[in-house]
Amino acid sequence: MKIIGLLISLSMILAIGFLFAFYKAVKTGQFDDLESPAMRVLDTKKSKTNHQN
Amino acid sequence: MNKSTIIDTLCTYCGSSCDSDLVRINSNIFCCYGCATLSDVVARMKNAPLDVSLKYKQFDLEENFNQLVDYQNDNLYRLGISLPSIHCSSCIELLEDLPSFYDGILGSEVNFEHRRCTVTASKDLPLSFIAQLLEDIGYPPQISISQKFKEAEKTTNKNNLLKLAVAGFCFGNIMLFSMPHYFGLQVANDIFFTRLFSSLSVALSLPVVFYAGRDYLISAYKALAASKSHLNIPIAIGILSLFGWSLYEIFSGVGIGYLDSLAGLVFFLLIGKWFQHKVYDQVSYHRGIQEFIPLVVRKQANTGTSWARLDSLKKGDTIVVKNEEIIPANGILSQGSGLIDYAFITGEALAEQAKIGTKVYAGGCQKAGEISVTLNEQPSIDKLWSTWSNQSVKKDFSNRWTDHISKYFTIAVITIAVIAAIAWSFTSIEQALFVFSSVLIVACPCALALSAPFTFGNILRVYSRNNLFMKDADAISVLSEIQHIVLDKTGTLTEKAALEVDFVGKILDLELARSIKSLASQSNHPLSEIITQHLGEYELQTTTDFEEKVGQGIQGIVNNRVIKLGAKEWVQANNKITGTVVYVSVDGEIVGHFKVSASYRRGLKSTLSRLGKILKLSVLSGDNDGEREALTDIFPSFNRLKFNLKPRQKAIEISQIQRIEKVLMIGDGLNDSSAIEQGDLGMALTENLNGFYPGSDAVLLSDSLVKLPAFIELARYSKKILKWSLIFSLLYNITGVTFAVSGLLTPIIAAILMPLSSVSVVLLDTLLVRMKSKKLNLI
Repeated sequence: MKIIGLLISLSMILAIGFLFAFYKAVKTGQFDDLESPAMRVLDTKKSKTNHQN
Repeated sequence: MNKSTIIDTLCTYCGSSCDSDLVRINSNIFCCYGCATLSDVVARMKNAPLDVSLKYKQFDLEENFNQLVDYQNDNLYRLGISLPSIHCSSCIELLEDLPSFYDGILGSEVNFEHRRCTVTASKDLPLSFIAQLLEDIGYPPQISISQKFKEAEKTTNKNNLLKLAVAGFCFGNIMLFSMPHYFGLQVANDIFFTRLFSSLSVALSLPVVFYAGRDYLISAYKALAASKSHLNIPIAIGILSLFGWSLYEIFSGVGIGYLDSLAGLVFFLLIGKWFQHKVYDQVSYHRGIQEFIPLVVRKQANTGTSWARLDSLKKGDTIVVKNEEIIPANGILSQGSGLIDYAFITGEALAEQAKIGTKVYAGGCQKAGEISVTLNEQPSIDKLWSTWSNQSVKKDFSNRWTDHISKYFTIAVITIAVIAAIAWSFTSIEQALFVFSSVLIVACPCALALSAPFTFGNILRVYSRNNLFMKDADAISVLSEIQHIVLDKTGTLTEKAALEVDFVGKILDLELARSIKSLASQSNHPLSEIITQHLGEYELQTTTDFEEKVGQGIQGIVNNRVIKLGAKEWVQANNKITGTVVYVSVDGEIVGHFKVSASYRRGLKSTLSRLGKILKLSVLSGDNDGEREALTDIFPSFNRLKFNLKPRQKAIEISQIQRIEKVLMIGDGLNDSSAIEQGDLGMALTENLNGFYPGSDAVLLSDSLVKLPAFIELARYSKKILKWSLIFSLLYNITGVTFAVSGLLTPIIAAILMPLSSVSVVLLDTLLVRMKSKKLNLI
């Protein structure tokens, strides 16, 4: 049963890690714009030049 | 599917399908300005010279520039520019391609969601140049110092998102640690695990109370310090009693407390807050006079023209104003011929003609070519502004409804808690304390606190989808209480810059029409120009003996006939016709008259009659009363119908109505701004979101004016929704308090009751708003 104590501490560390990752993502602006990156993929010109390169 | 019909509506450039506002240029169809400009401009535009407009020049002033840029060093600067006309992926493509147009632009990145573009440019390229470039390619920028306010709002919501994440994280974990107790599992009896879980829960609850829930505690404290009632007071009492009692239980080893309910409560509250703050970014309510009257002007000197600050000018200086630019100061026309549109200032629909020596006034828009203006007084922006604005009026929409209830709520809860505690104190003191805090815990008006943000948040979303942009959620509750709507005429009830011309009299044959047009085209009086346009395409005939008498009319000999156009006295007509009329006589005989009238917005009649059924309507106009009959024709029972009002008089009229009724003022121009400020709710009507709407609490796109009755009905319905939510949440509270008073509030009951009440109220509100909106055809 005591093993649950270890598992819980591990899961907490993991979860706090993810929370911190989310914090970083919000602070660096990853949630500022959820639409334009998807549209940028469709940019015909840039993709053409990429092929040539 | 028929393929050919699809091809017709595909964009020539990007190939995506076009909606109704497609753009046609030289028989090509584009889905938006992005595509149109891209296909045409890319090759042509590279490093082309630009003529920078007055209105952008002020961005280069050092003090403005420093405030506008987000970052600068010796070589470059970066700033975010709001571009409301961003529409699709082509716009992104074009705007992000800017560095290839101009060598000075080093980078650009579009944020589609916020319709913004972040531009990095070298210091050699002035900001005004970038602004002009953006306008020229079809994206008029909204750059202003006040725009910076909005960015502060955005970071608030970013913080709300973080708080929400932290609260959600802690809520989930604390709940897991409480699970054994909910289900009476074996670990719940194990001292080691009970301690471990309890201490972890306490650790997790600290960020909930002191980070995520901080705002509630602070605002409750502030409200208390100012001895005001506020919904956050009972919430803060709930949070603190939950936290305090839980700590007591855990440290005294009695139980595990209610930390799960605490975290859940804060989590749900923050969801509501985040939802309400997720507002649209296209509209700015903070724009000031400086965004209308240019601060920098072209000063004319012997050596040529140079840019100068408006406040550095003196009496006697001469400035140059180009086509479509705003005259920045009062003065006398000294060169060129002016056709000045004062519609925005006075509400007068017809542009005014100005000859050399005529006085011109600040705020007028020059419509025909370049003019020079010699200032006859020292320009003063403040003085100018004071003629329109009544800045002493400051509106504060507090959320009266919930604040009002929270007062009684707090008193009731504390009374119940005290009475229950006294009753239990005869049994045991400890039980009395437990009951006291249980009542405070369970009576927390979480559901009540959520109902307003979700109801108003949903309504805001429905409104913005229908092009009504409210300043904030509380403005909706003001809209629901409106009893009297005051409308401006020019630009509000009538289409901007659209006039209807009718010829009344004998039938105009082609030959005569051609002659009249030939004569009218000789004059550049606004009415002559309107008639010239109205008569259509004819080859002009030669006019001889042309004569024009200012304020009277024109005459000339065309095709061997003496034709006179003008006022009643000029042509010696007998019958008097109201409105703006141009009489026509041929060889001394009157053949009829042109009636020039404002063209009213489509669907106005049914809109006004629908509105008239639920509230009173008035029209206050700065224009002359030529349209009185036309207006009473559209809607016969106006409460007040007044003309020739100065901006200040409009505000005074409104304040008179306000003694008995709540007023919604709808207007469009600067001349309405003091009236808009005066109204309990001020609404600006605009053709596009690039407009200027000082003092307004809401912005309505003109096409959606017909939906106004539905908007008001929805706002009124929101009151009903809130009442239902109140009953709903009170039912929960009564159930909870019954448990608490009888000393039966266990953690599991609290953990079930609290989220259940929150979620059900949110669902109820969302459903009711959606159903009503569907009924009103708003979604």
